[in-house]
Amino acid sequence: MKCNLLILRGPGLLPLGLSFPPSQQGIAYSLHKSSSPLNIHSHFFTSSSLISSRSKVFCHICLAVISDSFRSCADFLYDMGDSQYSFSLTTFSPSGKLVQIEHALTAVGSGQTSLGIKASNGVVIATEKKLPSILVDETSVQKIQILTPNIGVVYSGMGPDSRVLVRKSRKQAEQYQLLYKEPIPVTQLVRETAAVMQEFTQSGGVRPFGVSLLVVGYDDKGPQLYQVDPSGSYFSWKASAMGKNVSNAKTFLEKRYTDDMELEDAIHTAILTLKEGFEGQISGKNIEIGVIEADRTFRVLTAAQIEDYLQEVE
Amino acid sequence: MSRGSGGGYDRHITIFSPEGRLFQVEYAFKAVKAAGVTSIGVRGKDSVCVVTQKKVPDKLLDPTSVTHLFPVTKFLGLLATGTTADARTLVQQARNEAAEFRFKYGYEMPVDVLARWIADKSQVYTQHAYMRPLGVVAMVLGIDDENGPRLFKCDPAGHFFGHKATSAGLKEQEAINFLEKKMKNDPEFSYDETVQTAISALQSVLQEDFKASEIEVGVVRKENPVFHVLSTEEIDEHLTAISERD
Repeated sequence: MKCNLLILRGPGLLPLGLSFPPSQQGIAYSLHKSSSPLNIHSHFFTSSSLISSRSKVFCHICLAVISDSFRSCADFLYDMGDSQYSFSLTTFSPSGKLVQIEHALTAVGSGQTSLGIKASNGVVIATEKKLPSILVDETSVQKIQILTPNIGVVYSGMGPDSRVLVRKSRKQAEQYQLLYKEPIPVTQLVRETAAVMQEFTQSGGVRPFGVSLLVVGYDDKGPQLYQVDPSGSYFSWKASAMGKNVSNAKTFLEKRYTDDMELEDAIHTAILTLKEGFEGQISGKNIEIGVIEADRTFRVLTAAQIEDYLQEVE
Repeated sequence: MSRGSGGGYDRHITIFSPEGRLFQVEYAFKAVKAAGVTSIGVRGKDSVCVVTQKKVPDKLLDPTSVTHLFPVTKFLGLLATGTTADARTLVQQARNEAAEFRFKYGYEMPVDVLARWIADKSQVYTQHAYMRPLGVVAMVLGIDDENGPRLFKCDPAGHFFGHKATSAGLKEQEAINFLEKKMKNDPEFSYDETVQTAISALQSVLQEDFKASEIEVGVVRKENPVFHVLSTEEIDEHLTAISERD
């Protein structure tokens, strides 16, 4: 049986090697042409019914080989444009808006409140840690993450999406360190993370990240606080909040913020801001606080330390 | 005025809806419930136990092949609630990943690392349009060298948490309410108490008394950190103990 080997990208798998007798090349071609993602699967199956039994066997063998060799999920991240979805899902509306990004911001706005305050001698970030049930082991969850010894991050929005960004950022920071033999400056890391987020608003077959990040660090330029949005835009802030209670929190911060604040004041202000919109009893177990000072070591406060601060605030 | 929900595709693939939701992920959760099975997991002081219904829809089926409880390695178990086909895919990939981990790093994959890996894979499906999320909630259990018995639950959205006790499937919420009452004061259950709490939770939520052949029970214990599926005789012992206790 004379065959022509056609390499098609199957959905999310290694290339599908399909062999069709020349007379049925037309069918294979129409498979390739069809751009509607919803019809891809039905086209594949109808065409296979027209193939002779020998080539059907070949198809089955190919598929068996492929399904036995799944790649790790890290590889998935590298072939974003290489799928049947080689068109962007985030497209302009007639009014010039990118609606998927707006919806992503809505998703962030329904996430748990988090905030950050830059003081003269350090930065503090804080977030609510509301768990879905008392059965959840709160020690298994940590929302505030360390990116490098002197850079930390907190998110508002979709937790799983933030894990992807944290992983990527950590890798980028390490690569910088390896290349330049010095720790990555905060601005550089923020820029690279934001670039990743922007990629996912333009690449094929992916949706934007449903998280906003607050990245804090202390480097040669002093204490810094950046907010990165799902669109990939980022700004440096003196104090910022994101998530559910954002407008009240920002008003509160605007009133309370002073340029010459010290870190201890900033921590107290952060706690008070969280308390404003907090439902239920605030305690060391349902909020998280991360700080970085002139010692340039980012650390997450323990529940006991948070309790001490809560006592001071009372 | 913006164009609206991306042409109506927000229900078909995992892009955002105007309210910032991912409908495909929410539908995946519904698919887990549609399987019609409820599962419960409980963590005790030195053991973890998971229980699930064993529904054999046809008498002609070989009941030993109907299972939701899978050993991923000798020491890690996975209880997959939801669509069986998706469950088998997940287990196959998890087994591969755990074996590679052992080979690459020279020590057994810890529970939380496996749970994180499953959750991260699920997250990829929620962000890339060409793969749908799996309709499976996975409960991973094992004994951690440093932290003792551990129970993690991973869902189609990519979330994963460690749990003291949890549930998944059709009667998930009722079971969680029941378990919250039981675990309120952070009790430290012995092995027998752990198993019996899990089984009696399932019985109370589904309001029926089970025979040993109608449920599957999997355990890991500190003394013997191997993942072990209980035989019908062992299940019977626990069922008798429960009925005598009441």
